[in-house]
Amino acid sequence: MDEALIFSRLDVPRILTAWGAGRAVYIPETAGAQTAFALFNPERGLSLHFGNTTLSPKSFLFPQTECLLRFATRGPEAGLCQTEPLGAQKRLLFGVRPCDAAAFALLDRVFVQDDRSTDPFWALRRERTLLVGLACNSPDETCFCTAMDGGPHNTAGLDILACDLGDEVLLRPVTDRGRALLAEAAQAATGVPARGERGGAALGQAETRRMGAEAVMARSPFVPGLTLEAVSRRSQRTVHALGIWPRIAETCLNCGVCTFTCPTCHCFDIQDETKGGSGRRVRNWDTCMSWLFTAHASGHNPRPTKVERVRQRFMHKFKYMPMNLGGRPGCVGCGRCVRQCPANIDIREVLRAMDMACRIAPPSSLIPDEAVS
Amino acid sequence: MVSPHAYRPNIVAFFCKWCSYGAADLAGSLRLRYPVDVRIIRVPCSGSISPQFLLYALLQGADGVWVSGCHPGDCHYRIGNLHARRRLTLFHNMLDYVGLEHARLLFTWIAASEAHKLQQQAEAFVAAVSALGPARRLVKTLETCTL
Amino acid sequence: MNAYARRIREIAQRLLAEKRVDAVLGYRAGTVPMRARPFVARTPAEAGELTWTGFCVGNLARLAAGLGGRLAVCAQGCVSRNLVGIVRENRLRREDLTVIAVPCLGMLDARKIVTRMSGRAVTGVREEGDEVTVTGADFEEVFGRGDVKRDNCLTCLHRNPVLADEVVADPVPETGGGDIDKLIELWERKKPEARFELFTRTFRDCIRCYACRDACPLCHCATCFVNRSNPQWLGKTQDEPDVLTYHLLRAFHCAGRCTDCGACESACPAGIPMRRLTSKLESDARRLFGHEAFLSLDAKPALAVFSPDDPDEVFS
Repeated sequence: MDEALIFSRLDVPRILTAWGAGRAVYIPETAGAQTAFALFNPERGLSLHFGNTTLSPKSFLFPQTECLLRFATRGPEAGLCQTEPLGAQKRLLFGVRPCDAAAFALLDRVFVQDDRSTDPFWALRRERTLLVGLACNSPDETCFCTAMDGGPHNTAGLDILACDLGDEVLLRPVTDRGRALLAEAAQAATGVPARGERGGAALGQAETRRMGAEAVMARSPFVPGLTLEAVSRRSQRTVHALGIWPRIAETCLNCGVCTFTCPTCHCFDIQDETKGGSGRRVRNWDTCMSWLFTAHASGHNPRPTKVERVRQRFMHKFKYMPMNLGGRPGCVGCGRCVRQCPANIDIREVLRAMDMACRIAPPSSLIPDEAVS
Repeated sequence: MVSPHAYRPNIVAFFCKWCSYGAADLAGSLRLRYPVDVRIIRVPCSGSISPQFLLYALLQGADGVWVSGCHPGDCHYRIGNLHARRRLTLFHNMLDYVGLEHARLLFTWIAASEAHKLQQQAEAFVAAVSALGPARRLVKTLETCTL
Repeated sequence: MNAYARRIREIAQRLLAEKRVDAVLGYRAGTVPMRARPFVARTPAEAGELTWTGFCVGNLARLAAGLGGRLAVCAQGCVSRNLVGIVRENRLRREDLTVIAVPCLGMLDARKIVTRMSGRAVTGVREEGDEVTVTGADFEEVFGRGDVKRDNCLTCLHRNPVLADEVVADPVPETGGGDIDKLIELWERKKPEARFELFTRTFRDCIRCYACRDACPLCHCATCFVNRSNPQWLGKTQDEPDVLTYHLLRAFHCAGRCTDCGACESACPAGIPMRRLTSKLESDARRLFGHEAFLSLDAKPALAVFSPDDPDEVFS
């Protein structure tokens, strides 16, 4: 199915049920103040009115705890490792926001770099998980994807993008897998091709909603002018030495909320655990906010205090990752860290502080060819 | 006597060196028999027991955990067991509150001369823990649930 | 609340102008609705940003010890007790601390408000006496303050600060009125299997972010037990036994020292009702040992002292 299809909103549960053949389908569900992806249950139905999930969906491809291999510590098999069977079932996530999808695309570049450094755990789950996005028509106050090379109706990382048009839903295929998926949907419910007058109207409505969403973000006091331009121009050393860091760090608790709720954070810790005659190697999420993160066996710690760790986090997002990813910011603007930081440290404010400080910082004496201008 | 083929619990005991461990030594001298399922760890004082040790034992798979010290007033270090009394009371209450079977925890005051009390407590504790079966609630296994 | 903010600013500006302190730790407006954020004002001009609302949650005593110099801290009842705690635990000297005492009528729970809004976005909250007005793009709703107050504030036993170098307002009724022991009855009246099921269910969504630990002013070990590796007391995984052990040990480290400020619950991104566990220890310390944490600079923590008459029932 090459072109987009328009479905009645009432058909969405039926489509999800059809997509559920041979797959586990997950949709965002709200309980109280928390929203999370849960297995789709046709009897409970679904709502397209939610902001975003409290935690990002990265745990579907990068679980918080993952067993990599097992081994025996005793007996004839001692020392031999058995890779944990990659039992990733086929899944479909419905309602992924474009920011989270962009994060998946970004993490693809981290976990699947080339033949020799592909992370097989990520790669297999990615291959077995289909992503159907839901375009954002009413961004939250904390959203800022437009400042992070993203957009409320962007399709990067998705297989299909759905757009809520009120009584109708527009499904737009993005990848080949998405096209096949859309064909499955067309079997389950009547989809009107988005062409001609009817299609043009629907596409026009989607476009109107997209512009409306972008306008909401543009009206936020935090978004206009938010850019990485000066940060990318100045040298790493200069950004590192900016005087803004101690004040930014002073109210940080150094917990792991920002890193664990962030869709692009991907640091992990690998550890062996043994019990009796058997053992396993597990990978757990780790956070650069922790003192232990950079603690050396010698006792030395290159990031000994809060200031170094807080600086590291923002530089990773806005300096190191763009350097490694050809200019792409390491942040997708989902706003989770803004909403959930217990100390309300606002990444948008931090970036603006970095930007302003980079504009006025004197040239670095150590990096003569730094683009100061 | 417990049949060798029946379930044998794994009980970790922390005994203070002066009184309770002394009682265990005396039980040996007197040739008193008590179940071998109790593995004793000698510590200087019941006051040195941190809840970390006890939870670690449970996490590693201990079916029962036993802490024993000198009677209040008789602590070799004067007041260690008085600190232990408060601490372990709160700890016991907390574990009971979260639903850990309280028959899996035993706290006793056993003086160095009370070898018979030690024997009785050991037999009763092993029987009680055996009746509960292997611990399941706070035991770390190497099974992981992944999506 | 506006009167409170005005007084706090006055006091802070005076303390800074007279150079009696190097910094004032308080709150300023959050960048999102229903939030106030910790703020360190170092000049009278910066002190003009200080505010006080029903969203001044979290516990400033947590940050006080790390800031250094002579510090003034805006403190409600619970926070003032935690300040006593960090002075007693030698993390801050009394002479370096100026307590700006804020008698507290209870803070608001943003999550309760969000739940009542059923998905409608909140743009602002106004507090006027006993009424809380919540506004959005196309709605306005009024609640009684008691309906959206934090749980721990409803059962607070000490709303007036126990230390005061400067005072922001007249004392308020000392207790919040609720029964603090009702919380633990939820679990205590159930059978053990049901209690364990409740326990595991409560902590199921834990993501080991340690925000509960890091928001708590009591947690200040140079090396936390979770970071030890020799032995490693518990795993770092999300497996249930590891998660439950973490919470049991963290709560126990607060035994006899917890002021029930609720910072742990506010900080948790998964909305875990942390106090189900800490309240049991707080209640036991109070009922078994007659002890409430840090009510005065002379008081010692419950587990640092003992009585010959302490309950002995747990021992055989």
